[in-house]
Amino acid sequence: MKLSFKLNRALLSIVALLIASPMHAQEEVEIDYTLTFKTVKNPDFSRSMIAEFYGMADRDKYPIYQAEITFLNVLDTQEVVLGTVKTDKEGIAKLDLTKEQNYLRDEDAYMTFRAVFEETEGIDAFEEELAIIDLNLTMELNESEDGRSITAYANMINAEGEEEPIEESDIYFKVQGMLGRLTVDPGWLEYGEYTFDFPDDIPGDKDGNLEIYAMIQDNYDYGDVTQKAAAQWGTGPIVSPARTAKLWTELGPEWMIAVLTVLLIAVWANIIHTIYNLNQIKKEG
Amino acid sequence: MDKSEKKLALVKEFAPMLERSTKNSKIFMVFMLLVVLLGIYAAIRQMVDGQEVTGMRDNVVWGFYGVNFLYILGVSYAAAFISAILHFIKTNWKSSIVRIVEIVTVLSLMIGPFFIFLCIGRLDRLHYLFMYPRIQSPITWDVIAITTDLVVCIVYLYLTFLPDFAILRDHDELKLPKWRKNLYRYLAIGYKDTPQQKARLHKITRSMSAMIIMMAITVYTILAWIFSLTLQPGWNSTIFAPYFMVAGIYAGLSVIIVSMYILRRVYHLEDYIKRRHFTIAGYVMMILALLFGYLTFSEYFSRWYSNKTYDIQLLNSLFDRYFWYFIFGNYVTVFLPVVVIMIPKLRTIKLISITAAIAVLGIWINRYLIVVPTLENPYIPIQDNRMEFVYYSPTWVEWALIAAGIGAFCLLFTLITKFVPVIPIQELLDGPVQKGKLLPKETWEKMIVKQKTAES
Repeated sequence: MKLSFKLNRALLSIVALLIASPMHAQEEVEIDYTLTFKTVKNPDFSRSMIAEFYGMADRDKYPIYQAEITFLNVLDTQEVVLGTVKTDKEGIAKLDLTKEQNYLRDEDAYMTFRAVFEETEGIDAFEEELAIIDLNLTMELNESEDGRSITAYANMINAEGEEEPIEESDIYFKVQGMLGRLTVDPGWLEYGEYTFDFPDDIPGDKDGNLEIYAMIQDNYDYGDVTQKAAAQWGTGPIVSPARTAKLWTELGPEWMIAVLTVLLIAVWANIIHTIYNLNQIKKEG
Repeated sequence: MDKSEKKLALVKEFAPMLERSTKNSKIFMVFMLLVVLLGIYAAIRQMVDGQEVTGMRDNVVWGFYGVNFLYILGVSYAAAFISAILHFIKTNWKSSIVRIVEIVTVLSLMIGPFFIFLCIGRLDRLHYLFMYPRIQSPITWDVIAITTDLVVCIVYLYLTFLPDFAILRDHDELKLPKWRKNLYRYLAIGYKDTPQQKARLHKITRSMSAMIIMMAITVYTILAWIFSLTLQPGWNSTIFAPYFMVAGIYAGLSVIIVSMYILRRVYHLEDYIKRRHFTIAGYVMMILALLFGYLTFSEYFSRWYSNKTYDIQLLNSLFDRYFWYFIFGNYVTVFLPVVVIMIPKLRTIKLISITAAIAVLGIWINRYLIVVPTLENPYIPIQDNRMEFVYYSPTWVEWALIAAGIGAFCLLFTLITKFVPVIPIQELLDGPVQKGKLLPKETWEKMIVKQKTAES
């Protein structure tokens, strides 16, 4: 009796556990806000100021939409407002500045930029600052009997406003793919110059056209700088060999036929063996 | 009382079942025949007018028929599996139920495949399956497996019937028509239960039993693969083969328990099919119910947790449109046997049988929930937005054919029990009768007195 009572209780507990609807904890979630800021020098020497504003709650990222971000160029006490942009649905505010835009620079040629979010009713004020040296990145595409090569030149703009080769930096060469950019060569600029042999097995579009990018990324002194060039250096579309998946061929794979044959032979041999023995039983009768 | 006297007493005991049919039994058979005829009429209507007369449409191409095919073959393989396992177990109690299990095996294997034919739109091209088979297709594997299994099961059933055919041939006391005696003579193939014949028969029955166990696992696994090798939400699962095996054995055992109960009542087999049989079967049913519950939970929980769009869409449909079906098929079916078996007061023959009957229906609904809601939630949106294209709803044609399937099963079962004793006489003589365990002295005395009274 005692045992069955315990069993009933245990069963009831299991049933209750299984049919209980999912519980939702209605606790207030603390949001941790973040503002990131970077500047990118584009191939046409224009510059983009990019700020991303988002909140993190319970490991989920929530972009802040329609937040006003003001971009400034600062030097000591001087502040030049470059523009104010609202964040999009991804929480990104992007301000494009033409190549003619002038910037304040210090005596070491550094330009200081600031992204500012003013305090609102729900979110505190945020600001991010970065200082970089302006850099012009150019690319030269060479084609000779020995093959194809690319040379990149990186010259910084010094305090006097003149071009001067940089000492050293990482540089990446990429080609545009369907979904993203494929790195074809990670290199190292020395005295403002780097040359590499371009591979000859990249498909490109249907005519073999390639969009080649040279990129300095997230550099401490120069930020993000991008240059691009177009060339018909691709091989064109590579036709994949005919599909050879065995399951779609006219005849099944050999292992499949072998296994099935062995199984069927085993079963039918047993049936024949049984019939033979039944015949013997008949004879013995 | 020597063996031949006992044999005679047993033949006389079962003679009424074999010699004549009662009025009720005749009415039952006529009714079942009418149900089968209604099904044949429905099948003809479907063949003439096309599948439009059913509830199946562009997306739900396996409605009741697909579910029945899956379910009945599951019962068949399970019964074959249980029957073969029983053959290897040396116990007294198995003799009373082994024939019921064997009959369930073969009948369900004969009826089940008809339902898949009904799913085929162009039956006139059916022979293409044999003329141009693609060995890479699970459908071809299924055709090969089912036909082979049908042959194996019929041979196995014949082996187990053979000694009883010989007994029925040798006893002129039975008042049977001449054609039936000739048929027994033909089917008995000169079997005289000599030690050599007995040893030979035992040897081949054992090897066939082993083959049946292997076939049951292989064939039902292949049937599960027809679903799990697709990418459909709700079907693409790695545990479908063992899940189908467990569900099939659970359903098969439940059908056997229900059959045991009905035959016990109809033929007054209380001395042979005892409470002990139901209790043992009930415990096995409870274990299978828990295993089935575990696999069901594992299957649905992983789908819910992975949170894939189409799986969630399917689960939402199961917990909305099919809510009560889901509760019945997956909760009642799991917990009811546990409650009935675990509480001693509830562990009666009647309640175990009712639980088995509910499990028979519950597993059928579980199979329905596997087949239909998945087809109603395809990857590519349903083009035709008429309700009958979006949701499956069976028509009278499908209901009639389902009833015909059940009717054919009952009718053939009744006919087989009129043709061979439902309890294998030779098994009783070789096993428990000699040891005096299944039929104690009082039962023998009661049997003899009853027979003498009838004769006088």
